[in-house]
Amino acid sequence: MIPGILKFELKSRFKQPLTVLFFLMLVFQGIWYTQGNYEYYVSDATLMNGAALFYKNFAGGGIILIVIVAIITGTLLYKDIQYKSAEFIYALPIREKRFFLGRFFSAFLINVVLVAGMFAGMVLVPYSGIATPDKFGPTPWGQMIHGFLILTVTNLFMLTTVCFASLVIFKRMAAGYLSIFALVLLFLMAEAVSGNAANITLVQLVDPFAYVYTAEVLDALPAQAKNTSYLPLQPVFFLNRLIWIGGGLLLFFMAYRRFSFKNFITALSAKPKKKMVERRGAPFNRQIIVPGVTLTFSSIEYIRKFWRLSILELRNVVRPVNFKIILGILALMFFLQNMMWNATYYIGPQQPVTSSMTLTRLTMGVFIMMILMIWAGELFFKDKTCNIWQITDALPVPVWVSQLSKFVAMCGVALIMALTIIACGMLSQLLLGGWNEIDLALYADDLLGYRWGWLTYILNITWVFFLAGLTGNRFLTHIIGVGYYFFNIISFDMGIMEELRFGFALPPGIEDYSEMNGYGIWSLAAFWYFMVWAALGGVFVLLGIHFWRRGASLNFTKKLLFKTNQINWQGKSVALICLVGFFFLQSFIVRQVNDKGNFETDAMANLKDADYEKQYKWLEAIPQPKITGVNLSLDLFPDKRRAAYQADLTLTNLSGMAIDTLYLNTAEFVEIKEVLWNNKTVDIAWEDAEMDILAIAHKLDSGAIATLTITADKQYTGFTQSDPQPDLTFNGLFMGARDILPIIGYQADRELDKNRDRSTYNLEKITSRMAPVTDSVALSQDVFSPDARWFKGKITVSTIEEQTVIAPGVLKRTWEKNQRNYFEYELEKASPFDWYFCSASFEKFEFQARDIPVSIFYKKGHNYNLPLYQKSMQASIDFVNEQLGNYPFSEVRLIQIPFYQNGHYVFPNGIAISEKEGWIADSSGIPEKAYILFSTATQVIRHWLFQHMPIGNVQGADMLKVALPEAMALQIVHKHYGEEAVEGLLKKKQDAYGKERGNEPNTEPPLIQADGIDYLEKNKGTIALYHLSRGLGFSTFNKELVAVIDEFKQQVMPFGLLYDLMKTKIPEHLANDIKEDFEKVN
Amino acid sequence: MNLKIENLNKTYSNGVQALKNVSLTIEKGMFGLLGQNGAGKSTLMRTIATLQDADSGSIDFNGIDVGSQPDKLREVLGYLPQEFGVYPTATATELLTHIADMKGISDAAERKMQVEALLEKVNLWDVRNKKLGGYSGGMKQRFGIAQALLGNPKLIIVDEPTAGLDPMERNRFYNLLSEIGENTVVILSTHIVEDVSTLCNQMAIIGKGELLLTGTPDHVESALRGKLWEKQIEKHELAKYENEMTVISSRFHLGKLMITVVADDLPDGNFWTKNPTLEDAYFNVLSNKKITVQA
Repeated sequence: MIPGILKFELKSRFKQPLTVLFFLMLVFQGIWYTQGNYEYYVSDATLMNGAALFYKNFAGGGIILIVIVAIITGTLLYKDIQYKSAEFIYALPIREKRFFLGRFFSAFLINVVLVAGMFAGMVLVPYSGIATPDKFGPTPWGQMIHGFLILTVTNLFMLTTVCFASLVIFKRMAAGYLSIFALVLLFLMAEAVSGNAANITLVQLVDPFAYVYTAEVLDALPAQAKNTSYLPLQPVFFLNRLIWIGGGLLLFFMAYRRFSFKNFITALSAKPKKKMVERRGAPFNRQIIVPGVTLTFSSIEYIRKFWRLSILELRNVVRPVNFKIILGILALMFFLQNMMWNATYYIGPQQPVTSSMTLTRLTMGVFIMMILMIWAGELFFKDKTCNIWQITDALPVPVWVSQLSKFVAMCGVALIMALTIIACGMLSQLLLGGWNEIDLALYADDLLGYRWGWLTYILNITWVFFLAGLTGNRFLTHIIGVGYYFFNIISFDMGIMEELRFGFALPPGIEDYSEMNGYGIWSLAAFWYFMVWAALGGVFVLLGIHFWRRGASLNFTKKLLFKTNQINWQGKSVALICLVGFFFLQSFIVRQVNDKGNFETDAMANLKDADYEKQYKWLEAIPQPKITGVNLSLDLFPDKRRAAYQADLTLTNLSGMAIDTLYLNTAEFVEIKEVLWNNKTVDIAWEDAEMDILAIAHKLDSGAIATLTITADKQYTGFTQSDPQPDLTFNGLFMGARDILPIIGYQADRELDKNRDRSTYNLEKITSRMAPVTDSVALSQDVFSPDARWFKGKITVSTIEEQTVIAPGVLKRTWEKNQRNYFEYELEKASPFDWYFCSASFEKFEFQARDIPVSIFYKKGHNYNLPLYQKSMQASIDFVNEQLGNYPFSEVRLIQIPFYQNGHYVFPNGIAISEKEGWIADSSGIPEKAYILFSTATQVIRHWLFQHMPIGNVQGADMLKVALPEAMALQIVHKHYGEEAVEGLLKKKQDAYGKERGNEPNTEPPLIQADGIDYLEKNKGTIALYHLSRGLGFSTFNKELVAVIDEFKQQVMPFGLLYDLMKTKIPEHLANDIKEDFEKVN
Repeated sequence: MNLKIENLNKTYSNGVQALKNVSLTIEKGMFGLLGQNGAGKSTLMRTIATLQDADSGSIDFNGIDVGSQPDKLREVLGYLPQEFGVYPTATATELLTHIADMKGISDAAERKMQVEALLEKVNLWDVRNKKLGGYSGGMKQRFGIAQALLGNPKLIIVDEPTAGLDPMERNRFYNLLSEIGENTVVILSTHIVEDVSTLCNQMAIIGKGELLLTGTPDHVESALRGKLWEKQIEKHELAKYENEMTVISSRFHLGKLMITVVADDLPDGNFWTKNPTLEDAYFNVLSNKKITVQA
């Protein structure tokens, strides 16, 4: 019997055109996802048909696959109930258990055959035309079959078992869908938290698709191995499969035992909960006189009806028990998210600030939106589903009253969802002791607004409303609605689409809330993007009404020609106005974002940089003067995102030959007002505005000194969609000197440093991102500013009344003038030209560390860890004074800067720490305390090192700049928190290195040739140097370091020299290990 | 007060011509529309009830052009479809109140009074606060009748209304319809001939989208007077009689086959005269022996 069922089901499924369409969709997904994974692996050595890419496809499955599986699987068992054929099928002389098995194997087999479409898509990738032939290698058949069997087939088996078991238990089709979507949700959550999970093994086990495991293991593989390696199968993988496939089997056996025709057919009839008690007597009572009524059909009455009906529809949605159950589950998830997984950065949990609580809307966003969209579709088709449409559609109310009321009801449901998230967040804050952190305005902004809050929910509901009207088909509405939603999200997530104005309801900057700066420029940007989509949403609502099929009477041609009266001329006019508004706002955004230079796609940016290199590489050989002094007068207008400044740059010709032309690379958005050469006006000889480069023709003899005075303005106008433009923002402005001052000569850091990009733009591949130590020109350059020497300087800076400016140097004086605050800073000693300025509204906390005044500038309310920072600064300055020499500055400022900046910056007399790094960390645990000490100590040690040790612009620079201070900071952690705390920090670094090295775009160098890539120096470099210092003994290491620095006496010291020196001191038994660490890549 | 249908045509996208040039005038009172399944009854009902567009033709009710003023017709319409559902989680009171509101009874007190009266009338008072999802077929049908009567409609369309009702409920329902039919136009669509013969003062028979016959039941019946003959035959003889005579129906009686034949004269001596019923007329029409009777 089972073969018979299989044959029949396969035949009937595959003769349907829709099934062929499904198959083709999966072929497409196989190609599409492969391309997405290829973009993720930036290494030039990774092939587009590499095995790792395919393994990830097989594990992730993808949304098309999930939707198709959800559609097909449950139907196989439930169709007899759905189409009421169970009445006779179940009465046939067949064995019910075999029938169940037959249907199960049919579903599983159909799923496997269909999903083979994805396999086919992957095989076809080289022939799809999405990349040039050199991006492909031989098809890794063995690995593909391996991945398909151990990942896809097993996952399909689990999905099928879970779906069938849910159907048998709940006897509802929705249970089948929901069980699959619940697994997908679990997968999405595991994938989302895997990035910074404290216990990655647990996350790998929780992930039902084994995607997290697959991605973690494959990401860590070297680039070449990604092309050919079979997925390494570690015990955690088998445990994962055991849990999920074993769990699936368990459910399957349970369902098998439970399934019976007698039981399952009860799904056909709704069971009354209580037996109806009817009054005995005549069914129709002749004695009752039906009273007459007055009928009113006015516009006012329709509006009243509309509101009454909206409330009724809302009640109808929220009243059923299943709504309350789903909302309850969601509330529990929101609550647990806030209590247990709230946002962490690097090492531990945060204080229960409101911005952390509202993040739930993003991490759970996909699920929330999907649920709302499905509810919306169900409500819009409720009359059809309940088969009451012939009654309701014949009632004398306009379509807009009946349909719009459903739309409003769904807005009400969405509001309940948003309020539930708010309530869960506030409850979590109360329970976590953060009641004083409750920020109602932020809750309202995030959850009731358009940053993935209530208004975003409404926009997506308008989309479903439109589809419901257009298709008139509940099933299609769900599929297209949710399908497009996922397509939209995934396309931007994978970088397939970049311009947000093409992503319906996607506002910019939703993840970029800064405790200091709020949403900054995103506030304006998100408003206009919302307006664009709101205009389209208005069109969607009106067209949804217009297209809605009342009864069976709406002719599609009439619909398209607007020849119906479902919306009147006023409605049609509003729809037209909204449509015009949509296009107008789109063009407005193009003007504000694209035309004003606030956004360019990656491809455009890469093309520009490639062109710069092609056109101006010759400048590298042209002698240029060095900056040997700067006096800067800077007026900041954070409220206007503007800086006006005048800089006197002292230029010295150290090239040994005369210079006749000065080449200046100006920062974007800078408008030069005037250029003076030794206080005399000088003309700009030529300018390439597209490349932001200009030339000044003026002779400078060898050894001569001149003063170049630049008066300029920098201001951002319009708004942005991807860059927070943090150097000129409202509160927490943080800019580097080079954000406003020009770079002299050839700007080498504009060169594309990924070989894949270089190949794309016909540039020669590079073997290293930095020059070798044998390059004397590069060696003579300072790594912080290749066009400058160390110098002192003076900075006069002003800002708006309520803000304070922190700049490099000691604060000489402050004053107020014209409702502006002025500050005069002066550098104590010659320092690298790596200056930063910050303007914000700060609170100040002062103390002394070894007689050095320390001021901490922090956002009001972020005083949780001030004592810890105080202790860390004191311990760090103690360490420097005891182990290295006197701390180089007479005063120091520690400032908080917005989170989207890098973690830490140092500049003379200043340390800037991003708000994500520890200001609002819950530092009750040792690991958090250790991390704050470690990160603070690193900066203090940098202060000392950078004032004593010039670093050349050559390989190994970041070992001195990044790894050395971190390795030394670990000594302080060791002293204060012990070995275990250090091991915790080192493990994080080891994990990060293991995970991120797989994304090396070129070739990973050994540490002695480290060329400045994020994953290497700060992870492997720090670990290696720490082990070296331990091997030598901390004290010996420090003494040797100080000795060699003294020996070089302010001369550039390449890392290789330091390493060679240390190598001679290490004990014999460690020599090999150290050599492996520094000189080899394993 | 009348409903005038002129030259109504409707062809579905699959090529089925559901209505062929249907023209009909229906006066106040009960009008029975008889036809087999698939004859076009429901299409005609839905078209009158504004739920479907005709390809051509017009429907006019008391000056309301249904094609161009569907909203106006809905204001005076009470419609009980052949098959309908309910919101399973709503109670009878809630859903009736909601429908009353939609029907234009804006005064809450009036709405309440009429809903309660109708709940009493259809004997759902005791279960008025129970969820409709738990109603039996008969209770649901009575609910449907109640909703059709809300707002004192002038035109009531009931499509196969007695499905799901037991014999007693069916009779009572007919009585109720008769009462209502005194002041309104009631169109009863059914394939049960007896329903029409007992209730309706006007009727039509529709087959394959065409109007085959219109008139009063009496006229329709009497048109066959003196032309109907009945005979008891053996089962195997049926084919022979069908070849030789106009057999409009056959039925078993005490194990023997009884045939009814239409003929101007006595076919043979073994036949006896039969008093025509509406059912005979119906069978006669469906046998394509069309007799046009003017109402």
